[in-house]
Amino acid sequence: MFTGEASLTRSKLKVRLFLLFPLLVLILFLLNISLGSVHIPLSDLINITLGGQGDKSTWVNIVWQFRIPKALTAVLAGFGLALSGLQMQTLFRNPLAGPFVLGITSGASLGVATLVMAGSLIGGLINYSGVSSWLLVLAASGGAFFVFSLVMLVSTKIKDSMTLLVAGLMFGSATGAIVGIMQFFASAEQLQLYLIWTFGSLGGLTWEELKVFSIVIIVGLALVITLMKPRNALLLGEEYAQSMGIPIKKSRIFIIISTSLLAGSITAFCGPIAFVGIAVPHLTRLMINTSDHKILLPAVGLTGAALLLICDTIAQLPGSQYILPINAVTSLVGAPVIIWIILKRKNISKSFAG
Amino acid sequence: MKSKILHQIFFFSLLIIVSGCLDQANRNATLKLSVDMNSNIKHAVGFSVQYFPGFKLVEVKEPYKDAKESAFYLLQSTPGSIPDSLIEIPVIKIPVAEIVCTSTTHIPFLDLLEVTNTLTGFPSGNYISSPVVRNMIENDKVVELGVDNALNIELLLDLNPELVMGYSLTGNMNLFNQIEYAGIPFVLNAEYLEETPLGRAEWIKFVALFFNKEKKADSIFDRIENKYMETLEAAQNTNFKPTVISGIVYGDFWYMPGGNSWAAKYFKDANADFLWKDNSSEGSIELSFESVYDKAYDVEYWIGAADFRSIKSLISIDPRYSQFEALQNNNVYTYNKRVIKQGGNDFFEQGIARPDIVLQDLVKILHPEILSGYELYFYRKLDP
Repeated sequence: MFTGEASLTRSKLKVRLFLLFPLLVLILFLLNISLGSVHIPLSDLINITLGGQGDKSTWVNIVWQFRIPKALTAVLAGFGLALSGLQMQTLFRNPLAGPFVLGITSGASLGVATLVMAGSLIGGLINYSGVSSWLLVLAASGGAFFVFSLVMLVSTKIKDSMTLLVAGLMFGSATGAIVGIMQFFASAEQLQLYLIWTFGSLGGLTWEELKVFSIVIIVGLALVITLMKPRNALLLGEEYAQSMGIPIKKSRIFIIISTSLLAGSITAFCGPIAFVGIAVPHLTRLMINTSDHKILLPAVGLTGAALLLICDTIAQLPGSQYILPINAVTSLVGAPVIIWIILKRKNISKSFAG
Repeated sequence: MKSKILHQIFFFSLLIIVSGCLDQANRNATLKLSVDMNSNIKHAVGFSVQYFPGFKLVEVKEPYKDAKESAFYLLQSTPGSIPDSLIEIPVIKIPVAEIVCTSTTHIPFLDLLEVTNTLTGFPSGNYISSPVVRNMIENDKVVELGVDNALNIELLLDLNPELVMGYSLTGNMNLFNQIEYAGIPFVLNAEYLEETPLGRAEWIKFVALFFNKEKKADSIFDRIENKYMETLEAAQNTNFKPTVISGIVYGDFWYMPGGNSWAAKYFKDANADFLWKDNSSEGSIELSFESVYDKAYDVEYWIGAADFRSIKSLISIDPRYSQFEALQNNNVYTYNKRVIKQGGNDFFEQGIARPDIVLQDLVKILHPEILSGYELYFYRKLDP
């Protein structure tokens, strides 16, 4: 690690990381806001992004009220989900772990399902179009927090991360069953509203919501950064980490908290975005062969942002007035990526230094 | 002897008719063979009836979406008069005195025909708006049969109605097979597959067959039809053709009624320029918000904003709605004037049987000078 050759690769990596990756994200961001259902010529687009006017007055609104908030949401969500995935894969040393193994999505879906489907049971207070976006966010975070607390309770009792993984999956199944019961009794409109939520959505955030969303994501990211050292140690095994003087239990809890904050808030604002969390860490490792989190961390985050921007651009079906659900696109892109990696590497557990 | 031969000829021809009807390959031949005794069906294309001594033979041509075979029902008014050749067809004794319906859209037909007191059970009765039925539910005269998509079969058997009037969206017959197995007659009402508002309302004549109320149904429908055509003509005679959009955003999609949807047909009859009229979809289409905004930012009317009650609440959910001119001019309407506290919406119930009122509402909104003094019935203007 301290040989000249290694440090050379590392500096090369750094150049790639700190120049190429942000550049890529920037280009994809611009591509994303320049493509959509409505065709806006590039010159007008540049004008508008620089604060000017377009040929048509509606274009200013389309760019500033629709496309830029959506692209920013994609960057934040992609960044956050990818890092959550990386943290979970490191904690569990399992290539198939993602941000949602702790039952966070199922918790959030439980909250949303309760709001939109059991609303009429609770007393007819909530009709489906009266579900404001803030209420939806609250319900999703509430549900996610509920399941997360249960997982935390279990995690303080057990020493082994694998047991925690199983517990998270079990909580997920249980909440899924409750949602299933609610779906069974729901009316067609309620069911539809819930299904739409599960499609995921990047375009629903207004500037106001985006402010709150970015604050939560930044807090989550800050937590993730402070956990750099324990994660690097954890990669080599819990016992090794302990021998390095890393407080395993405490680190584990903080990793869980930061992941829940990221994945929970993203699910609350954008719905359950599939696959980015699992696929991106693998994709990144394929591009830059390192398991050092100092490098991996920003790389994974930026790749996540880039991937979600690409997926969203595809989902917009540029030029047509129709769009695809973001989740369908992320899964369609994500699944081949994983298969490709497995075929190429034969064995992805190598990436975990274990 | 002669009369016996005549009988045989009669049954033989009947056999041809019926076997022709039952053979899906001969569906076109069916239409030729079935003597249309009920020539007063003017708009509905989904059912027909033939009268025979002692019974009526009813055909539902498309009992569910994309059904390949017709469904036949034999409505028997006097016992013992059914020829052997029709033995395969399910028999329903009429007039029906105890009925279970499974769709709120069946209820207004019962109400209009004044046979609502025959209703003994209903799934998800909470969604019913009809005051008559609400009253019956409160007095425990209508049994709650579980939820819509999973009728409680035991409760139904216990209730043992004379007829279950159901519907099937997909052709999944599991529930109806169970009902049939238990010896309870059922009939599939496919009113929702009609292509015009008047065609759908004309199914009052179908429901009437089970109660021997054909005459009443005819006169009620004639009145509805006359009012509808009168309103349509008045609207078409105006020069003003305001632009209209409908629907609302859920998630990333604006759910806009397609160009062949019910909403689009009503907008056309009300002489409005629905901006997505050229689309060919019968259901709703999922559009991106920005494409709707681009095409419709200066739209004059926004009619059908789900069940929002005020423009303020619309904007609080998505401030981008405020970019539409219709919203800035307070020209947003939706069909939630008659929503009951239990959650049901009469627009989706009575509105099916009363297209004349729906059209008058729309004409009143779009061409207020025509129906002076008329007060909106299903629609309401959103509060600021």
